[in-house]
Amino acid sequence: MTERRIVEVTGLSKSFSGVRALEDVDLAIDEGQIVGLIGPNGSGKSTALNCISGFIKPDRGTVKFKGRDITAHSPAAVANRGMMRTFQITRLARRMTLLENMLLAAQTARDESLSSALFLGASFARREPGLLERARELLARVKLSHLENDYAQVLSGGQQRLLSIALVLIRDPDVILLDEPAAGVHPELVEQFVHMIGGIRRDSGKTFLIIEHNMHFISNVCDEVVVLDAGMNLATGTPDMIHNDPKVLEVYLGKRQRTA
Amino acid sequence: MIELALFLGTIICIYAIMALALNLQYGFSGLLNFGLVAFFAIGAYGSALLSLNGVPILVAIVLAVLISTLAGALIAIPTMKLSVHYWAIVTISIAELVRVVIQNEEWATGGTFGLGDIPQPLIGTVPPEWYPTSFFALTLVLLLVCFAICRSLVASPYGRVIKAIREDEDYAASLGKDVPAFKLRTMALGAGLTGLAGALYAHFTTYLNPAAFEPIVTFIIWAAVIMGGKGNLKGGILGAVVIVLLYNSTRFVGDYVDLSAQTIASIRLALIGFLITAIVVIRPNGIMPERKKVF
Repeated sequence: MTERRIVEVTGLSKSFSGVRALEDVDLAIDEGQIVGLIGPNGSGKSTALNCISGFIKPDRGTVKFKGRDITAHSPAAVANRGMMRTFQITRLARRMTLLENMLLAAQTARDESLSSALFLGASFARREPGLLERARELLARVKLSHLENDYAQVLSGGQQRLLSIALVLIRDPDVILLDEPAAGVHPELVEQFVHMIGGIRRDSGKTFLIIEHNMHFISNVCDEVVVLDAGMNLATGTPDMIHNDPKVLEVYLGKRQRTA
Repeated sequence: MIELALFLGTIICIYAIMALALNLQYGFSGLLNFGLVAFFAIGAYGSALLSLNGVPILVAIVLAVLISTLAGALIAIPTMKLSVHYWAIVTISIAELVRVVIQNEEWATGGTFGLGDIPQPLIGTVPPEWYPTSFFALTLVLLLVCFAICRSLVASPYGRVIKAIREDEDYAASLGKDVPAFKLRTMALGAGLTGLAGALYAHFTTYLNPAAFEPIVTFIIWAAVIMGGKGNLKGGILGAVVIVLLYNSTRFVGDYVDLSAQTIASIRLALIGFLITAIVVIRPNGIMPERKKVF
């Protein structure tokens, strides 16, 4: 095995006031791999992603990232260690322009200190042109250059998804978690996502975990698929294997009716 | 006439400093601080008590600012993880708590009788006929300094983070921003500015009593920020100018209509309420709305 394990989730469990959302879920991602996380609605995909990214604390189980236990980390700490996420319903600063959003993502904790704001603003002022250039490059890549000085609230749903990917890329994380990037977007845009993720993988070898319902998307993008059902691991394998797995078909399409 | 102008000018500067503080907290960071007056009171009583006990006045003012800043941080630490609306309720109770403590700790604060003979800065060095002008100049300079600090803050990367927190906390966190820490710092900074306004108020009026720290003060500053423009520092200052002038010019309603003093007092407040409503309906983002940063 030449690949390195970058994310390792073991025994993840979470209940919400008695309702079981996750039960003993395992998940492993190697560096450079693109893993799809699928399952019917309510199967626990989003809860799993929230636990991995630090937004929800699991009841039991551990999340390891680059060999370190990050289960108790805050969402900000997880992001700063190099694992970043997008949201199913895109979250943005709506009354900030696209470029402001991009700079927000690009700037570091050191740029943001009070002392640098009040006394040493010059150090960031020197860095800013470089970050702006990078921001413009990425906005061009997601075809949003023409809106760079507009408030993010003018974006359509699909454009918001594109911006959220550009925001993640400017931070240059090791692992990118995408929560249903193709949900509710135009089929052409879905193709664009497929190409973009392929391109990012070719250029920079980034690791992805992608929650998605769109099987076309999953088959074209993922190396491996993990299927959850009712909060538990149901199957793991290549997209082809998963496609033909009777257990998976059963949870998606329902049991075959037997007539007496 | 000139005395009245200088009096109003000084009060406007003091209120404008508070408007800057609230704009930083609410206009830029989305913090619903309904307890602004608590830090005004802490700054006022802090500086007054210190200077009455022999601390040089300018040192007392600086210490009062530090105490208010610390109070802001101390209140923020255990409460920063509350969601906005619960946090707003906490701030209301804290303001009332501070007022009730001031009212009852008579040995220190004079209780409802108030605290008098608060010394004024540079009283011996400035000729008496120039004193009101000098005090106005002092508060105006301090207002400009506070404005400069706030402006460099909101234009910096720090400013981008607090705006993002106002828009969506989870979004800011997902980009690696330590949301509670930023809220804490903004809260403390705003409390410090409000404390400065309080200290200036104490040395300006030379007399304090708990009735000057009713929730109406918080309400007036909120009105100034909403009317002037949330997320626009100059707008907040303009709001403070408008509201102080309104509040004080409505005093003269009694000269034109023959009504009891009580009725006139109520009419004054009603007039202000009406004007705020009108401005909010006509210009929902205030007289000077937040400006878009274009690169």
